[in-house]
Amino acid sequence: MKDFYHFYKVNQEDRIRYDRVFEKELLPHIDALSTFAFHLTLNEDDADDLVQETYLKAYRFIDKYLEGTNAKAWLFKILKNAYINEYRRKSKAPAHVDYEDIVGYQDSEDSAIGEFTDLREELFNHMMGDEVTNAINSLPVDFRTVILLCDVEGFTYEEIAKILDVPIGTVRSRLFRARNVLKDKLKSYAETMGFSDKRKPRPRKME
Amino acid sequence: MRNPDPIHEYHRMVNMFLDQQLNDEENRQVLHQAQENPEFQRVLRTEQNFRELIKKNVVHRPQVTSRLIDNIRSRILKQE
Repeated sequence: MKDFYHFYKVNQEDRIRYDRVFEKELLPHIDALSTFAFHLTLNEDDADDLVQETYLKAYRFIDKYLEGTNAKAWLFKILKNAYINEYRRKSKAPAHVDYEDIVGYQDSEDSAIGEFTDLREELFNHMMGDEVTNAINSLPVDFRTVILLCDVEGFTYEEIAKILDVPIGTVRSRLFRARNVLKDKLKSYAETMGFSDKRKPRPRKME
Repeated sequence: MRNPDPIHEYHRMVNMFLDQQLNDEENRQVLHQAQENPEFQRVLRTEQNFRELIKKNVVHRPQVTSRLIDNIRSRILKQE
């Protein structure tokens, strides 16, 4: 609350500037935030609440935002923190990611150990939108998050690392793992539809 | 140490390329590989298709309503 009152003691000139920054630099990202919030909460009302909460927090701490910098990444970081603080606490908890698993993949992308799923490209033509959406939404939230931030919102690894408060290496390995899990899900779906990969499995080279 | 499996290395390079994590010289190498090496080209095409599939099928919520925006503005005013 101390910060709150500190902010609201600002002079009229600053208030006008903050309002302008809010309207011109922060509000234009509301649609992207709304989509991200929905994919975190998987619930329309919770997503709207999360977006509101994000903007209220952003305005409250707007004096910390440097005009003309990366407003979108700043807002995504606030939203992610608000989600963790508010929504995880309420037993609407997302699926748990086994961090041992992630740690296991930490070095795998750059080393000899990593396995990856190689989708047969013909399979893409047979993917139904709903199934792909379901597969994405069924990913553990930490995996879903990196895919949304990178593949949908186009954030760089560095920006994602800042948004999630994790090292860049973790972003890379989490993305690698998340894409593999998603590919596995899509591959399984394709197989149930009769589009199996007829290629011979490639021999895995061992160190 | 890098993975000796060339396909794995192709995937690694392609992912870094598509995620814009390579420098100009490395980008040129990837494009050159894509022209010269059919297997590399296949990996690149597959990964590109995979990302397009994700983008196309992630549900984008319809444009936020003016009501939500007005709510945010009025809650900020109330706080003031």
